[in-house]
Amino acid sequence: MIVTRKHLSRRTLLRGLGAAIALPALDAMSPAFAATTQGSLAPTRLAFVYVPNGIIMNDWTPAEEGTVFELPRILSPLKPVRDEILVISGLRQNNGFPLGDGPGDHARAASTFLTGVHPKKTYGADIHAGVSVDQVAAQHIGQATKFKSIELGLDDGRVTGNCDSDYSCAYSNSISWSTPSTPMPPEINPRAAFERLFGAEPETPKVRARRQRYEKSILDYVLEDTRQLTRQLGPTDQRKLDEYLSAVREIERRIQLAEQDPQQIVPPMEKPYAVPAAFQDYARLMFDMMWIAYQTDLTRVSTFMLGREGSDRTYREIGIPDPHHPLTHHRGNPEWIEKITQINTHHVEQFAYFLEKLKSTPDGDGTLLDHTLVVYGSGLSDGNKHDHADLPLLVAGGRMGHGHLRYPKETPMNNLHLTLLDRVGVKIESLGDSQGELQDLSGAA
Amino acid sequence: MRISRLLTLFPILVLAEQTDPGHLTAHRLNRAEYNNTVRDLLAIDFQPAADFPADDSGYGFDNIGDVLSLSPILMEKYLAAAEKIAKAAILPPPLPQPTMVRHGRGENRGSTKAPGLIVAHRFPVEGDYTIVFTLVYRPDPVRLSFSLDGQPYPTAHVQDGADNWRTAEVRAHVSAGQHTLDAQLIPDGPRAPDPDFESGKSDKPLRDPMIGNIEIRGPYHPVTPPPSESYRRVFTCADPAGPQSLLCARIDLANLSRRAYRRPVTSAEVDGLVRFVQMALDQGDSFNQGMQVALTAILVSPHFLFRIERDPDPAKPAAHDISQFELATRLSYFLWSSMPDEELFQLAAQQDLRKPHILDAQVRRMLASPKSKALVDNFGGQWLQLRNLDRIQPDPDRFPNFNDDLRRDMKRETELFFQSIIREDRSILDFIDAGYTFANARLAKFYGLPEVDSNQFQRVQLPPDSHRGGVITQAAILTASSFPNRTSPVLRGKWILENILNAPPPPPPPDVPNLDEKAVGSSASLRQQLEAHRTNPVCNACHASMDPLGFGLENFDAIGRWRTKDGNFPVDATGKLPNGKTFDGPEGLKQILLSDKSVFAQCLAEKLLTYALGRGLEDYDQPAIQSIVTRTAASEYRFSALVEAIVSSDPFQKRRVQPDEAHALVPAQSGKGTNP
Repeated sequence: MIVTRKHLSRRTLLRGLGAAIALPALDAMSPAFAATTQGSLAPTRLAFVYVPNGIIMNDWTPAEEGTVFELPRILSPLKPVRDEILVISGLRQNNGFPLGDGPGDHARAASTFLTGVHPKKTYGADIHAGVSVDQVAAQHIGQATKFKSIELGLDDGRVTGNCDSDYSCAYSNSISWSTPSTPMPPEINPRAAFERLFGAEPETPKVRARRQRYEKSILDYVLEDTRQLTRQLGPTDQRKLDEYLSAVREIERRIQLAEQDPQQIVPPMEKPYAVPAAFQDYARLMFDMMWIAYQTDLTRVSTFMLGREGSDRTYREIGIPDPHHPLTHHRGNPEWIEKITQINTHHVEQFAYFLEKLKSTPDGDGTLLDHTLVVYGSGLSDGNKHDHADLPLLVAGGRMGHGHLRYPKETPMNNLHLTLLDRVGVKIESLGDSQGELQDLSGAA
Repeated sequence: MRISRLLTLFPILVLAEQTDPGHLTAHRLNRAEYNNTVRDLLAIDFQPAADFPADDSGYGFDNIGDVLSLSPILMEKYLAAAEKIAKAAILPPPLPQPTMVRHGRGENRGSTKAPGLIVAHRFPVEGDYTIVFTLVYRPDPVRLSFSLDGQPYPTAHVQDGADNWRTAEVRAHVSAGQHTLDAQLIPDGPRAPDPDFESGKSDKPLRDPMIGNIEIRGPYHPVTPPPSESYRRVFTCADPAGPQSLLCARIDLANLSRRAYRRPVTSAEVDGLVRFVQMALDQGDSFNQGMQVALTAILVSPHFLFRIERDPDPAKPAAHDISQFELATRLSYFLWSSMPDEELFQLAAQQDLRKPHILDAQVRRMLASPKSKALVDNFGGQWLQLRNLDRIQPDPDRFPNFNDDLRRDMKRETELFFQSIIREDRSILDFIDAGYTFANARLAKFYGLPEVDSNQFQRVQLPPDSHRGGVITQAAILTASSFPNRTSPVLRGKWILENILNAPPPPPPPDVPNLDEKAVGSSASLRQQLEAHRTNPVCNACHASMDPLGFGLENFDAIGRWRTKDGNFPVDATGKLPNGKTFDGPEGLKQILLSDKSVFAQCLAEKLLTYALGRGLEDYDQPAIQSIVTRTAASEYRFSALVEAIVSSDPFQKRRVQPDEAHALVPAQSGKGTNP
């Protein structure tokens, strides 16, 4: 249908046809098909998958633009789903650059990726970034699901010392921020992630109802107690306890939802007990859980960091015993560049696994991939020079079609975020340094 | 020094005349503190915080109040953990099913060369157990003599198995808890023949027989244990009306909440908790169920999860003493990473804790307690980067003999060393150079020290030519400051600057130009390659002080072994500092580091004070720091003197309100909130 970005956007086309498009009958047992303002063709889910330390752009960026292009080496694992991939070039996160703050590009890369806000340079008090696009989405479309969002990761953030040039570790450990000072730490333990989604032990409905009743009274009690307490405290303490209050309210909301919908989901996979040794198995295990969470509508928004920004992981299984981050400061060494390309490709292989799973799962009038917008990328393009311009990004699914779109050099990445939010029915004025939506964000069907 | 941007924005004129003790924000328990507090509150040992997300760190430590946030996912985990803990404390645990646990020679507490095997085992519950011994190597006729905690059992009959493996079995009724199993072999006849060796089929003779492992199977017919320690800590009431009366609920919950909140509780607070028990009974649930709900509420209360300190008037920024209970809490979380014990609570209730002689005595008691291991694990673990050691993966091609056992040994050496400085109240200068360390058989061999005949760690006097002594020569620190495939004089130099000399290098300037690799042949040694770094004046400013320190340690490879060659090049461990001083090798480096003792003393004092307070240090802390260093120096730099000086300092004993930088404070109106 649509060939290149120079043509009309799909939405304009729809409007042109008139708004009276019959919606398929909504399936009451599958809340994932709750009507959105744009009708059944619109995606209802978002996912953001992050890889650290940048990418070898020569092997990522397709040579051609438009809908006819060769998949470069790093993107080649996506061949089975190439019809659903929109590669986007030219976007930048301006606030990732130093802007007078000196070194710390890894901390900035991760913390600007979904926020577009320049983070405060501190490794102690007062960490401050911005609200991330996934959390904005979660506030709106997450209200109907048990979990407003889930955050997964593979790298242990328990590092001592400051993580990157006087920036707190919080900046490089998360890409998701629910408030400018509350990062959402990713869950890296598969068993814990599983138990969070599906419960630690099987319970009869009666036992579960009783537990939830007691939990509600406990939470009411501590909420009231805290409110009384904060009246007697100074302002910094009040702010600390505000975090506590919002966290408690979030659990109350979840209990309320669970009480309205007492169906217990039986997970279609075994509970994992250990962290798999090989990166591939570990990544796929977490991708499996994301897939199931979408399939069972436990959540509609997720972020997954395949590595914390600045990750030192070694990939021995593919023959690379060198830690990732130092390797990316290759200074032109061709052997090192080759190794990085292999790592980048290995990451994309795992992502392809996820997309194929989504594609093979029926969902309403199409597949799970049709109704999910998945972003894959990094907060750095050239890891050697710490470049935050021309970021490696692609958008998969959501019936966006396929293509390679190049935007003018100064285009903020947050324009993409605004556009994605719009697609899932969340209209906001701006986010971070956005200047408006991306024009003609679509490819060929 | 670290400058507080907040403070420079807000002039505090009131404090012009007195020292500013700083401000501590409500400080949530971090993972280690949560685990320890639950252990000390309820004798629950299963480390509930293992699943919690990582605590963010600041200023080098993960117990900094301002940095510790509380995300919804953490709150969820607190609730789940609280439910699990309350259940474990109050309900009797199910009797364990029989399992099989095997202890190998790696856990031998006897001599590594002797044929016997001595291990410790924790029996989960009283019951019958079958203990199976496996004998290996040459099948000489032997009898097996076994004793449990020194009590002998009848000698066991040895049965033949396949392949020179034989077994013997003992059945025993064992009580719950830790016991020592000692199995020895008694010769019972002439040596067995070794046909394969005698015929030449095998070129090595069979070794003398030894016990290869001990398997413990059970429990069978377990005996229901008496109420656990946890249960007894919850149900303290012995009211004749019966332990399940509401009066007893009140007494039990008052006691629990007082200890959990670390301060006296009001009757209104206890009322609120007793209401849960009433609620459970009203709904037809049991008394115990109600107590579980109340205990869960305590464990998710902000009074438990946060260390909260009060100001008499949040509108007045003047400094004031913290309360006795707040002092007890700061003290116990500093030295034990846990809640105060009854003795500290008593002294606080009697208003005696602040008295200098009592405070000093408590410090010494707390340092001598086994709970002070938390200081080694949490302060030492972060200052000496032992936690980072867990993540380091040396290249197995270059270092094939590095494995997790060795890693554990390295960590243990440094932990035991730190602990010895605390326990023996040694001078803190021993951190830089000491005449002893700790090693087991494997580590002694790794270091080339005289042989240690045990898998257990022992104190080892260092021979004069060992090149070891002090933390910068310990493998744990040397490995954690290297790359997986090579040493990094820059990383090591940086570590010394940050953690010994208190002179952290500034971060590299923006737009550092890339090194022109082509100008340096790969046939140059690492040192020569780094020299090229310093010909660039932009880099030289910092590298001139960093690199030489690291070069002084170049004789230690990337996993801490002594070497005199790096590949094809002889190691050049000389260094020249910007002030012109030169040195050669680790001994020379240590001399330089010790040349001005107060430098290291101030470094350690600042780090320890940061950890003790849970906040970064500011300019206004300088007078307190100087006084701490002076006091410590006056007591021959003993560790307890450093701790006592910190604990009696103003920043530790006082606080002030942190004014909100956004707007001026509105004085509290009685009965109303201060929320602007």
